[in-house]
Amino acid sequence: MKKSFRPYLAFLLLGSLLSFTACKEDEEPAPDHEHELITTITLTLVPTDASKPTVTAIWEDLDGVGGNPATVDDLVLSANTTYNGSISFASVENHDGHSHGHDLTAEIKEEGEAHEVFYVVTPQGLVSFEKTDKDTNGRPIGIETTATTSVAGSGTVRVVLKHQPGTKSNSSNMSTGETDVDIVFETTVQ
Amino acid sequence: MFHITIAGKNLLFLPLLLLFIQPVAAQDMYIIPETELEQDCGLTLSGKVIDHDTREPLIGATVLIEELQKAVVTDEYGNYHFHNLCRASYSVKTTYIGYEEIRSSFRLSSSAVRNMALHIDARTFGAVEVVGGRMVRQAQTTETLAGRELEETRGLSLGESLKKLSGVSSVQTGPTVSKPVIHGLFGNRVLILNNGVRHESQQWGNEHAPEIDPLNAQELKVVKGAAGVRYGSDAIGGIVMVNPKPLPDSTGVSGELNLIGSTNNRMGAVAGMAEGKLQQLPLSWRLHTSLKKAGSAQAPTYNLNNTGFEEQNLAATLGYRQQKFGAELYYSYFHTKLGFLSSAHIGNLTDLANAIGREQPEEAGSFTYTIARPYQDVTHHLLKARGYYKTGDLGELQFTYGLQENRRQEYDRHRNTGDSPQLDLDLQTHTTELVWEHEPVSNISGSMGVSTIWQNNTYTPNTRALLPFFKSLTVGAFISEKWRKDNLQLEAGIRYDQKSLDVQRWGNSRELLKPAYTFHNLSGSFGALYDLGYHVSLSGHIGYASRAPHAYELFAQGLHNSAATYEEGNPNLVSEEALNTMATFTYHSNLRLNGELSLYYNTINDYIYLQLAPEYVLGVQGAFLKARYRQADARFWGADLTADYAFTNRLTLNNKTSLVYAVNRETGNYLPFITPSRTDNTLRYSFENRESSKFSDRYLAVGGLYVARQSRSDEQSDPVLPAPDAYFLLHAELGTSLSLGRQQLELGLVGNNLLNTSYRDYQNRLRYFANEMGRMLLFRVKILL
Repeated sequence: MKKSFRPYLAFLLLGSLLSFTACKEDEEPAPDHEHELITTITLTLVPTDASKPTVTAIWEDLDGVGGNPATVDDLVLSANTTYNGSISFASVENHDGHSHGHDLTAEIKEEGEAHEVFYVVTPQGLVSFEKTDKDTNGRPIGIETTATTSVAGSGTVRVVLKHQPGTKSNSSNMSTGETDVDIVFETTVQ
Repeated sequence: MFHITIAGKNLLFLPLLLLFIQPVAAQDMYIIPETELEQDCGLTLSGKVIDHDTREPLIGATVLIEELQKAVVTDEYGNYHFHNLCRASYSVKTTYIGYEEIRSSFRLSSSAVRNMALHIDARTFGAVEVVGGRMVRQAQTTETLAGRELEETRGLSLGESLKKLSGVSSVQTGPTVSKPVIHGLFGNRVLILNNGVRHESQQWGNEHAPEIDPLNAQELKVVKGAAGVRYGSDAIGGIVMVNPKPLPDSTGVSGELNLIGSTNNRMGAVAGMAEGKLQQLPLSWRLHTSLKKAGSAQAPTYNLNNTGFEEQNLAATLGYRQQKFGAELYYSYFHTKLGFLSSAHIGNLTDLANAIGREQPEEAGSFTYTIARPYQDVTHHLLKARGYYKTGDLGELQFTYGLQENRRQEYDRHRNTGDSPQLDLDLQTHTTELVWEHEPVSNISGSMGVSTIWQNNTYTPNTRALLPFFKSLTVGAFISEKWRKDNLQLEAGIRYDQKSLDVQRWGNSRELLKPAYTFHNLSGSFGALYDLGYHVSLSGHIGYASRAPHAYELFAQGLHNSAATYEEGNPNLVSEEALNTMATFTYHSNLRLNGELSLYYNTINDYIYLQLAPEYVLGVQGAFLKARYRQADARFWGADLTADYAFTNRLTLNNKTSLVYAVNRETGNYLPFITPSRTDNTLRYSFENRESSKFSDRYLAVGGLYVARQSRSDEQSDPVLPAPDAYFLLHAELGTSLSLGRQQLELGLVGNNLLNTSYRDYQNRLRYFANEMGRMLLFRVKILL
């Protein structure tokens, strides 16, 4: 009887051995941020009339969706002014207190035939955006724009970046494809 | 001695074999004495075959009426039955391995009951070893998919194959991802045992299919309802067991080659198996491998863009078996890459509304084998070492160690993101189990044991922290015993698990948080099985199981791209507890009608579920729905029915029906994502075997599956889109064995959705975006080598 229980001990030993070797040293998780996620959008409007101020509005959410809310600048424009607009999309990551930025605008421009930026202004006519850049198929991209204001007022500018792989065409619009960016700037024209 | 072992094993297949032989023999061999021609031939002879000394029923004994050359095998209670006998004198021969055969002669003038008591054969006594398990029945409802029914599912995924069983459905994500659902419960509540080891992967995800190759399985077994005692308290919904064939007992090498092809997604699969046993050593081995590749699936009127998949599998087993002890080493590798319907990868709520508004997905594309982003790439390794030692007359001691690594990489479709995945999780699991199965001691048999599970989950830097780093250790102990006397069997079991969970995650203000938990979980079961006679048995089972919340339910944090939902865990969750009562009525061994009806009533306290919150979450992509894990008391109840009616020996109608109801007991609301009522009816015709023909075992079956609309859903349970309409699908199966010279082949053809019906299924997560697959024909050839 005594003898027959020896293998049992061997099994137990084997088991404990395996579970101990399993416990490796503690690893710490890297700070969580998804690589290459758009975190920072900068809308820059340079007036053709040099006496008026250049406008820069930044929308930023460094920890992505959820967590802390985004910080958003207001867009303050001069009335009766024409601006050369450009928008940039960047991925900014914080490593040990340092921030590392990676501009994604060039990539988007390169894949222009699969992307388009839309500007939705409320109320209509507060600012009007005209896209001045074209993709390889001659369709607008919307990174470069001309923005024109007339009378003073206030409202919002919504910026939407659409990913439209294979679906961007003469008939495509803002409801085509997948949304990469959909943000709103509070806007004042004075 | 070895020879007897084999005979004992083969005996298990005899009932199956005889089932086919019996009707033929009955028709061809009837000898009706002329003097008694006018008399009726509807008499029944039945009884029990028992051990003369112990009065124990003998399972699998053969009873032969020599005049008719008609034989039957006793069932799990030792019962045998002959139907449609004429008035005559018969000599009956009863045989059972290890016992002396008996012959008895009597004159049958009316239906009679005769019990046969056998004496142990002194010559073979002590040398008999029946390996491979007796036909053990348990009070809890179980269903098995094996043999022809399993063959008909070859080429389908595990989740799709299991849908053949009543009470089992699946949660799908497009045409390629299918997860088993038992009585409305799935995911972490359904335990999957792959070759006896708890399958540990990221089962919390509805779009994470089990990483198991069903082509390597000889049987798929489902235990329905709370079954936490044996394998872990978390089995609230039930257990799915994927069992490969036992290693060969006889010396020599054999093999098998399966070729599978299908229309629709133009899938091709090859599975090869070789096995053998060495002559000099008690060493056996098996090698199994399979490769699958499929292109994009086709809905009846359009292409389902980017839904192709590929899969590679390998399994190797080495077994050493001696009389007293044995060991087995098993390794399996699973790798899959599956495409995800491209138009279901959406940005925000507006995109979701746009997608729902479209008749068909925005990107139709055309058929291709290419898999582009978004896709999943999943690898699963399993290493298992098992040893047993026979503790003399007392029983058997078994030790099992399992090492698993699950690597899940998900590639989203954003801008040019290089080659790196957006989600990259790595889960390592070590399981150990020590069990002692003891032999009957005054009618009580059972097992007891201890087990451990150690897990470490990590993610690669710069990927989504959907699930945090965690380590967990679960230690459990159980005892389960069965008492059996005459017609009654009682069983009871209890288990205790302690689970510690240590999480590491980053907080909102960039600080490393280390929440830790300890859960205590108890499981219990009590069952009774009563044999009411030769044709009827009744069983009742009460199971209690409690499941600790998963790290995902506690700390999930991230976007679900196909549902435009931001999912958030709830760190305050407690264990959920299920009390499941089940009653099963079995009507068996009848000439025409056989079946099983089971009713269940499952009360789950603190049921963990994902509830959509009224507020939105804003991100760079716009607005998302917010869903948070919550707990509520729930109630599930329903019924499963399986029934067969044999019109003739060749023509049978089979019905499988299941109903599930589920409500939130606190609010009275319906729970989301519960299986709609379904019924499948199949008419099967088996052709007569002719000796001259090369073909044998030919059959043809035609059936229809009806799935009702989920009427138990409303705006509260499904706020995004109401449940889709009911649907009816026509299916057909045909098969045959073919002998070409000495070469044996098995051929089969299965047709699904033959009417090419356009439909959407309530439990498919992609029902917002696209229709289900259209008509599909699956061809298979099995070549025995």
